[in-house]
Amino acid sequence: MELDNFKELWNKDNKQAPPEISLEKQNEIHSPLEMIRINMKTEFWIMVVTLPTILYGFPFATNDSNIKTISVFEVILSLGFIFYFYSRFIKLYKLLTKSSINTNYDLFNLKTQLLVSKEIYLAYYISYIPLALLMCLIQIGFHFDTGYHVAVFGTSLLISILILCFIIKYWIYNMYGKYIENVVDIVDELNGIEVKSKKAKNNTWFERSQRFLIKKYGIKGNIINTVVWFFSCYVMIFLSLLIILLIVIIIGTKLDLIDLKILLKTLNNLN
Amino acid sequence: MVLREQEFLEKIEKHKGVIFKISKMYMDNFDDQNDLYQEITYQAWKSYDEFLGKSDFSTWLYRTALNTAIVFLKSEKKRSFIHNQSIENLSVHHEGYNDEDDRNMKLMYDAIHELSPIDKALIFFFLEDFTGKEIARQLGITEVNARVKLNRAKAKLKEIIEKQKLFNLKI
Repeated sequence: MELDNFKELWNKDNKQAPPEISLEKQNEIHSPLEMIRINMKTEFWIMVVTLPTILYGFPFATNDSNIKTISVFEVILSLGFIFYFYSRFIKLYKLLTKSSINTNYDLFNLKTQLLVSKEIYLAYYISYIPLALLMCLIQIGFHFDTGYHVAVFGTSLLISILILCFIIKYWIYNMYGKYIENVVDIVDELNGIEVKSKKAKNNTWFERSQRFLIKKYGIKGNIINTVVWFFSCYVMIFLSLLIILLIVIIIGTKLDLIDLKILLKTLNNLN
Repeated sequence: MVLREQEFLEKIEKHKGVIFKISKMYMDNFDDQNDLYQEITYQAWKSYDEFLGKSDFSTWLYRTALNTAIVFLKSEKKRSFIHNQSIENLSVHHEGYNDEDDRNMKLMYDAIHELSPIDKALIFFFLEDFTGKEIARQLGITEVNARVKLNRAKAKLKEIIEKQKLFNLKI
């Protein structure tokens, strides 16, 4: 069979009657852009619920006026970052809703927008590292010389950085990264840019549950998957770190390396 | 709105067969083909307001169809069951067809499925007798680039057919 025979076969292929057309949108996700859009919407609402809880960490009730002023400044700074980032976030969401992909130019423009947005997204989470550092310093009242302040400071900073690393490595990739890669590869191939062949990755538990829930509940299934994973990871990270800390404290106390009374006093005196 | 919908459905009626063939090029089982077919018509309907009539309706529709197909995400289904179903669909006999055609058609689609999404689009243009200039306009690339890409896609397809022939000889 040669290529010219294909044309003949192609023209003959009209025995299967096409299905009936339905102009109603099905409750299914069919493109990486749709997936990005749905994930953006889900993340936005997750953040609306979770971001205010960060405020709980700020010591507004302290008697130290310096700490109070610094906390207010940090809140304003954080709100500034959040406002800038979410204004870009909403702008991209609108663009994805409106944009057509009917030409190579549309796709190329979209690729650029997605790549720029991904970098802004990364920068947004990285910007939380200095803010987390400042918050940890506020917690110990900027004093390293008392009790276990250095240990408390180090541990809080480590927890914050671990959570941010987790977000940057797994959250961004599963929510947006892999779909952006999909669009970028297509645009690159169309424009003659060499697309590096990627190793097939094993399906993660996130992807498995995502597929299962999408199959069962459509778009809602994807939202349920994201929300469940977000909150369970949040709880798991805190619980596992708490268990590790408790083990370290218990072993440290048994070996007389940690003075429990001083540690408790230090924790009570935190801002 | 109803009039506009009616007008769209009338226009698309003539091209239903080609859209379904695009779906068959991109998807390897009947359910996915049906999903893609519905997605193409939905995307075309969604952007129908953007169609100003400067080009042929078919030209605009094929471009929308191919762009939708290129970025279409496959759904996860029980492949073995659906695969059998699609083979059954293929083997329904109609006047003017024979088993040889059916077999060859299956081989043709199997070979096309091995190609990348962009190569599939190029092969579609080749099968529909588009000129290099028309392909370039459809994909938004230069004519030279379109010709080079088409030749490469054809070479890849030939290679796949050769492999298929060898495989079939072995079994």
